[in-house]
Amino acid sequence: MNLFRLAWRNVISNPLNLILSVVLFALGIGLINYLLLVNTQLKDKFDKNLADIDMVIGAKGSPLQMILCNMYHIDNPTGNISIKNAKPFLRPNHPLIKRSVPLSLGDSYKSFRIVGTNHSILELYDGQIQNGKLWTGGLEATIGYAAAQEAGLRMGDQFVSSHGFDDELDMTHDHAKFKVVGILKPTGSVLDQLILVPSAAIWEVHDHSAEAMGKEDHDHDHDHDHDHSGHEHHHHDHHEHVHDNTIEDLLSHEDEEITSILVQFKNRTNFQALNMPRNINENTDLQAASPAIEINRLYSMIGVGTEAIRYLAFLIAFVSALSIFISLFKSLRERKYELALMRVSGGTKGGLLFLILAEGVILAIIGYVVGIFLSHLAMSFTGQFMSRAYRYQFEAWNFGKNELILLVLSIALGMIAALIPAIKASSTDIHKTLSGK
Amino acid sequence: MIHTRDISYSYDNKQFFNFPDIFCKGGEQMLILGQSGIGKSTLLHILGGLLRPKQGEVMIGDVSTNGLTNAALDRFRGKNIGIIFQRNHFLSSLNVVENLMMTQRLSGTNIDRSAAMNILDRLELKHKYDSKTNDLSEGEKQRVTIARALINKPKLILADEPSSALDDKNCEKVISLLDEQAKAINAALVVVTHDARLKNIIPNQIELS
Repeated sequence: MNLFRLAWRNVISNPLNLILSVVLFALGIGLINYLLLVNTQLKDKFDKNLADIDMVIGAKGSPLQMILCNMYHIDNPTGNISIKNAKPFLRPNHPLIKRSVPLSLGDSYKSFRIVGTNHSILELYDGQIQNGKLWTGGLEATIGYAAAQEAGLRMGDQFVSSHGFDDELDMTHDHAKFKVVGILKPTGSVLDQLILVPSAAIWEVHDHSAEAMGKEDHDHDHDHDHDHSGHEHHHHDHHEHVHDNTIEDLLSHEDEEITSILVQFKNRTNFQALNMPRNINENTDLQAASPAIEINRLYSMIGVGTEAIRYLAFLIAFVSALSIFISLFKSLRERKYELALMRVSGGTKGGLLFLILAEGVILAIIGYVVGIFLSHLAMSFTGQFMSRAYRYQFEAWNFGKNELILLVLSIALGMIAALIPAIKASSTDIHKTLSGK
Repeated sequence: MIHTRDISYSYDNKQFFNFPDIFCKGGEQMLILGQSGIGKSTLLHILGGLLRPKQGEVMIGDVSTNGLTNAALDRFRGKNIGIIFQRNHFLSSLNVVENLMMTQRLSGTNIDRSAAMNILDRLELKHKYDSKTNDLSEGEKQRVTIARALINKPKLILADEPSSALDDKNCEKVISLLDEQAKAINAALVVVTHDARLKNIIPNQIELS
């Protein structure tokens, strides 16, 4: 039996006060921690997927949409661009461009995106093969780690792609079956959730579907140009030709289309490189955007909301400290004889000060523990939602430096809330209290 | 043993109290009688070290409480003085035996659960050791208060109106219990009361006037 245990007993002997203080405290701490969790994990994902990409070139439309679609794979394409127009930026030996990765989007399997591209995409995300081999021609597919896990695809499996990014539409290209020839190691980037196939495979698949669906489908596309941009078709002529998925092969098909090009500059501070997006936007039918700028724009848009929630969280934290203060202060009146009795039994003023501070800290720590638990619970729901909606994986139950900082803050807050009651308790005049004066 | 010399007290220099010298050896009893408002509680609090006299000296054992700092006086009181108040107050979040153990702890003595259980046994409260103090009857509460005053084997036991709420039969019972227990640990027992019934039980008396 010591003062700390007494403090604990005092705290739990008043369940209603306990619940009120803990719930308020947990809400404040939980909300703050949840914001921090979402923020750091989102930033982490976005930063990882920036992959040193300096510029994205695609069809005209919203630059942010283009970035979200082609780099983060969470929005629909702005449209397609012809290889003829894209050619200058895909050419090897471009004086400013170190690496350019052509992407063809539009299809998916179990809502994992099928990306027609060449092997240079692996260099962006440090992708390495875990099983099997890389895609080269025909309908070969090498798939990201998460896509393999969650779509249940294994080596040698065959699957048909569906048009668009949603399975429910029931628009499958069932005449052409992709075959899994390789699975990539996990990278923690967006690469994990992609199904990589040759660029030409996308044309082939759509070639047949265009044929099957007839002219109507083309009209449909033109009528609802932007709304249905996610379902954009790659219309083209027939070719009986073996594609080897090299950049030369791609460039030789000027009439075909791709969705976008991801570009890394040789020197990103080069003046000409810096001006390149503006030049493209002003002088061509293409659109170029800088991911860093667009993502910062996105942050600043979301930022207003998170800022408001953050103030709300601090407000709740303040109210919860206030509730600890009030609950302790109120209990002092009920406990004044007890406290005087402790002094009579040999307890010092310092002992009473410690007792009340300990009660405040205990309340704060319980609130902290509950709040941290709630924030991670909320994070795991968010993670599930994000993984369903965007195929982004979030880690809900990892604990970081923020939690430690919040613990220290919580203890400090509990102490501050308890300070005035503690001082009042320790300065109780025992003679007056006990003689009822 | 307790011994006072020329103690006096005043509230705001208006109400003056001069108290007669008190002398009570270990194992003996003393009754301090007086009507309300005559300074009984004030005297008890001075004897118990809850209040410092304006003048004079209180010796408990061979220690003068004048020479102790406030914190040292708290400790000294915890170790050497057991006080039974008119009204029974406990640490309500703790059970009976924990109240006794907390009293040991607060005085700086080592916690000794078996000693606590022993005292409860002597006061026929052993079966109530894990009850919450709020669930006890008034008689039981008073006996727990007595147990608490005894637990640290003090040199002095002070009782403030211990019999005021009791009928004649229980009054006698409680005083003889106190007397018996104080003798068992060789403590001086000082009872402050206005209850004339106690005159017949404790012969060594001082009347405040």
